[in-house]
Amino acid sequence: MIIMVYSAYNAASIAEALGAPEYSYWFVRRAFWPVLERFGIVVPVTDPGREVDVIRASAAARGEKCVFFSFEPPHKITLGLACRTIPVFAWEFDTIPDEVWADEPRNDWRHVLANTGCAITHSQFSVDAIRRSMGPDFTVWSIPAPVYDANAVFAAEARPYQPPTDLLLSGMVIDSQQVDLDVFSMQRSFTDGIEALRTLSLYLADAEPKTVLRIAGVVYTVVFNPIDRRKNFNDLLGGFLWAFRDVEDATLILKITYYDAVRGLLPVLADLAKHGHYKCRVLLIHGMLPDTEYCALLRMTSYAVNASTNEGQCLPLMEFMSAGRPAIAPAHTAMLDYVSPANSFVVRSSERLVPWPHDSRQADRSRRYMVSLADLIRAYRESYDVARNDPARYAAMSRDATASLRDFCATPLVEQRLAEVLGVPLPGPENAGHANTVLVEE
Amino acid sequence: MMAPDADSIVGCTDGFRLGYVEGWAWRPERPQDAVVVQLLVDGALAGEATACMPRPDLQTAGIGNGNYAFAIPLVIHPHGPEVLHITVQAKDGPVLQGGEFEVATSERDRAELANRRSIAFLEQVFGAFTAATPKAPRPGPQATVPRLNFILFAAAASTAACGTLGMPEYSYFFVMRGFRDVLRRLGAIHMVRDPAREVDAIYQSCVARGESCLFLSFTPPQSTTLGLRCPTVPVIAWEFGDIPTGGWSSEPREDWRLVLRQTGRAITISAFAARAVCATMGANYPVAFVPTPVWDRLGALRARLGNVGGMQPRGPVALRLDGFIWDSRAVTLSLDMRPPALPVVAPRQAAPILPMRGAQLALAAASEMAQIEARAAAARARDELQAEERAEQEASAARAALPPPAKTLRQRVRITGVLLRQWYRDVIRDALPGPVARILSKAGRTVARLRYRPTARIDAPVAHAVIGAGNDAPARPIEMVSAPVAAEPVLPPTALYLPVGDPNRPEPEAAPPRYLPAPKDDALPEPALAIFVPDPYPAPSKASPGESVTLDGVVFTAVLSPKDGRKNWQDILTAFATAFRDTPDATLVLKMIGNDPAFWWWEFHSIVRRLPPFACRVLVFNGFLDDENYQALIGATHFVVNASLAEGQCLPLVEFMSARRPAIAPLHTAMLDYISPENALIVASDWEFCSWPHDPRNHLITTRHRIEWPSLRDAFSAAWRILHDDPQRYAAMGDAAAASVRHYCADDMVASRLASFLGLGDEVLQRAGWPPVPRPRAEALFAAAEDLP
Repeated sequence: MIIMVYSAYNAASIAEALGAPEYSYWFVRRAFWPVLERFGIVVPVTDPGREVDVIRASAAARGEKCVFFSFEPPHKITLGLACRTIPVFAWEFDTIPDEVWADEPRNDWRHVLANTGCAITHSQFSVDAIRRSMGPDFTVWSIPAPVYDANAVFAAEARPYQPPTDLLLSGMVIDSQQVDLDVFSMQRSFTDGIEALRTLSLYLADAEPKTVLRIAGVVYTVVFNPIDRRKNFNDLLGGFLWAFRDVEDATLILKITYYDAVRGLLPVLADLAKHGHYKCRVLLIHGMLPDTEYCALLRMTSYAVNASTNEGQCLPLMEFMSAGRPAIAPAHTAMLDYVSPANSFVVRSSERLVPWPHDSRQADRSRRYMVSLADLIRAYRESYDVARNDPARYAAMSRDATASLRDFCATPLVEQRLAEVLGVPLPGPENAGHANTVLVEE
Repeated sequence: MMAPDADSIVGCTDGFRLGYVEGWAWRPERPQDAVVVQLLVDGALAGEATACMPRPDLQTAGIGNGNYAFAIPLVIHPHGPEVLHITVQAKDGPVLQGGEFEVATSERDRAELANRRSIAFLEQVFGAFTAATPKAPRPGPQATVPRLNFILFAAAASTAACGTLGMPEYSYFFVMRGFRDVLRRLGAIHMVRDPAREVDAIYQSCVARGESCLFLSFTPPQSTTLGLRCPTVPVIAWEFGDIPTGGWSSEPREDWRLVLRQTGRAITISAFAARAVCATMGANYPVAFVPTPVWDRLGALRARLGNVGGMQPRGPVALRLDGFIWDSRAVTLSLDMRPPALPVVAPRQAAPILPMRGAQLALAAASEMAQIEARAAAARARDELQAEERAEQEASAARAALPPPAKTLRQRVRITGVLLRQWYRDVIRDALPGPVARILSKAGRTVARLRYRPTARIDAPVAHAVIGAGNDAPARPIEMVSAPVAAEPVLPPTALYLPVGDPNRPEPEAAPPRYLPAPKDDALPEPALAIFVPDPYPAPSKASPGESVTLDGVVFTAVLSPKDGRKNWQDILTAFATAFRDTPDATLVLKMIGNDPAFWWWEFHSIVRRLPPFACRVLVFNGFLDDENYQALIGATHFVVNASLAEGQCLPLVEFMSARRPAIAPLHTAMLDYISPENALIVASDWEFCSWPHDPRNHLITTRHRIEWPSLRDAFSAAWRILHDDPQRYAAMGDAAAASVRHYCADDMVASRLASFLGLGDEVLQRAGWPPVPRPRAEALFAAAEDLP
């Protein structure tokens, strides 16, 4: 079987596109790739409109079946292909777009989904949203990205209180305790602040030795895109600073995924500068980290943090929880599938109106879920207390995090559902590691 | 803890701190029924409170929704017993866990409380009442209480940086006006516009006459005039849990601690703010919580409306507004609509400006505050002029001793210009050919604009301008004095600065009885019936047809200033339109205060066009509602709505509630003083970070209260259902609203608090026609030592 996959960005362009709209589809595609390989030859395409049907025709001539996985939001999917098209998309809202605007019929997702006849999304929450519009019998699978297996190997070493360890990082690192945050104050942020960041990024681009960072204590990590307002970093950061204003051994690591260092870091630093004095430590890491460094960061982490208003699945949170790191997170949208009081400090949230993110009319047709700041601060403090005084509870939460994520996104589970999607039997273990990977990514 | 009986009450008393006995209590089996908690001191009932304050830690601990905390103020009198035996119990219920304890005040504490902070101060202000031994009559010829004088000053706007979108707007002027209506019955009122120059002059003349004098400065502490000889008490509206300690400018008063240490005491208009002051200044700092008296202003309206019972008494109600109304029934909303052009607010005839004498000039050049005064002034122009002349004579004596009233060349030119222009308009203009007159008036406007740019404008009503030193202060000190002074003999100038007890001082007995301004004295404007009609509009012109509207269905009303970023009308709008998307008989009235619709017009359209289609009706009033129509609006309203992030007091909410309108409101900051589950549907709120309103650094060092939107939406639906399905409950909520506001801010309650805090004694209250009332349940006149069990 030929499995064609498409996403707007590829390995070559993703580093330049971190944080751009729909950048995370590439990460989802990357996570699905090895599993798809077990069912057939995975062929990346760059222009679905031209390539998909050509490949299908030549495969059909050889008697091979073809299927096209489109890792795109439905309103961008190429319709009218002869090849079977399966949209794979993340959706974090309680309604799907069911109105046409800007004279684009695909903006009504019902039109697209009726055309494809099926869909794959990543959470039960979005399955429910789709079925509310498409009818209870519509074929839609919830298949999360299979990130469990690669990260579960770190679960055994999850520990609440990190001994002093050096981290070697190739990205740009800013330590709140070592920079003069005053240049990022409201009055100076857009002049001196930008200047400081430019200088710093130029300097780091030339610097050959990587940054060595000594980390210790209770370490909270969040991987996010600050330009994406759904991530709600103001509450996440402010809550941390208020909870640990006088606590020296609490560290928050903000791994920022945005291609432009200045635009990505400036809002976070400006927010940091507004909070006055604090003893806790905030580290900003910017840049695409090599996998080894990313894993080192994960291994140094005590807790994963999330304060988002909506999540399609939240890959970083899934990765960290697979690795046995309990979370501080609200239980809404995709998190409903894997965040629970047994593995997380669940933060209360309440809904508000919000437009769909790509709706040019900005019509309030959906909901976002604001976390409760008071409850977030409570969760921070409680988690710190557990890390310092209750290792048994930490261990139990850690075990439950791994177990929950295994039940949610372990590879066998994903394989089984994909087999259902493709209508083929589950590949046997002998097929594992089959050398189908002749096509490397362009 | 206890048997799971339906009525069992679980709770705990945390103890006594910062002047309050704190704790929590709830009924696990009936969590929605708040527990009423009583405080007994030595077996006698000393306070009562509903345990309904939010406390996140309770919720965390699994205690329902966490809204079960209480804090009952405990007054420790300097001459009271050393040990107070405290009992905290549920009303008609058991003593709470830890509810029996003792509060001991050491000799030193009480001595400090009594001598340094109270007696010394009170003696300084009202010497006759509080000698070290309170009972001992003061020696000297005066056997009776000397006349009391209150000097009042209100900041025109909250801060110098006025006009900024989202800045809070405390309307200190309206607070001052509310207090004035009570104080005028306790003593003579002197209103000043330049405290630095006027207060001490008045103080001196009072001292010379052997009278007491106190300066009440209705300003935020950073604008309070310090260094006066006259005892000064700032009256503070504040809505955050702690007070600014400065650090962002060279103005030392930005550190409120410095101001409050100098004044030695303060009044706040909410208990929340009083606690904020105590939290920083120490539990011993004398701060009183005295709300703006509103209740008695609405007596007539209450009588007219009578008891409410469900919807029956209220059919469609017609209103007329001098301005414009946005009505969702009159427009077609669509997602791609462009916001229509801002309606042009028709230029109105400015309030008549009286002959340009010094006082009126200052009036005309002032801002919101002055314009409202000007409106009142126009109504009784002649009386005022005469009173002014007399006042002028007296004040001129005081001024003679002050540094010469430096009238700069610029001021002379300006006054000449204004007079010339008026003369031109009244006498010349209509005699000129049309084109010439137009050219002249255009040139005149240009000149006027150039000259007046840095100051407040006369022609265009400006919502905010700053009166006071450094901002084109009036050329001379102006004293507006109430009636009793008019009845006074004018003292010879030589008497003014003589120390008390000087033999040359005129004999006090020679003066006619001076105190006790008659309750119905007419030199001051009568207390406004609805005190919150703060539109800086000139009086509506009779020619203007205005706009009429008929209200029907269930009417929800919010009166707010769109300029004030804490009012959060956005959530009110979206929650209402969501709750009633299929309900045509629900109406939301957003009465916008202020005359600049640009503050809401664009944002409002950006929100309302994006909302899912709704069947309910949204009305936005922009313009002036006169008293009659404002009262009609109150009468037509079923529920008054508030979704603020923080409140200093929220006068409109109190007004509507005092007319038996139940509220939909969150329970935080000032609302803690009068909102309860009995009189309102409580909207849940959370925190968010914010900065002091006047902190230019925008440091996020304090918190305000983020509204939980689903709770607001559900409160709207619940209110509609109560009105339709449960008229008894609606009526009970209305009665409870009136009862709690009565208790909260009726004139006699406020007077009692003031008299108690200032040490005036019951005699003064009785003289003013108020019988001594039982202690209000939420008085915190003296906070007491915190290092107690």
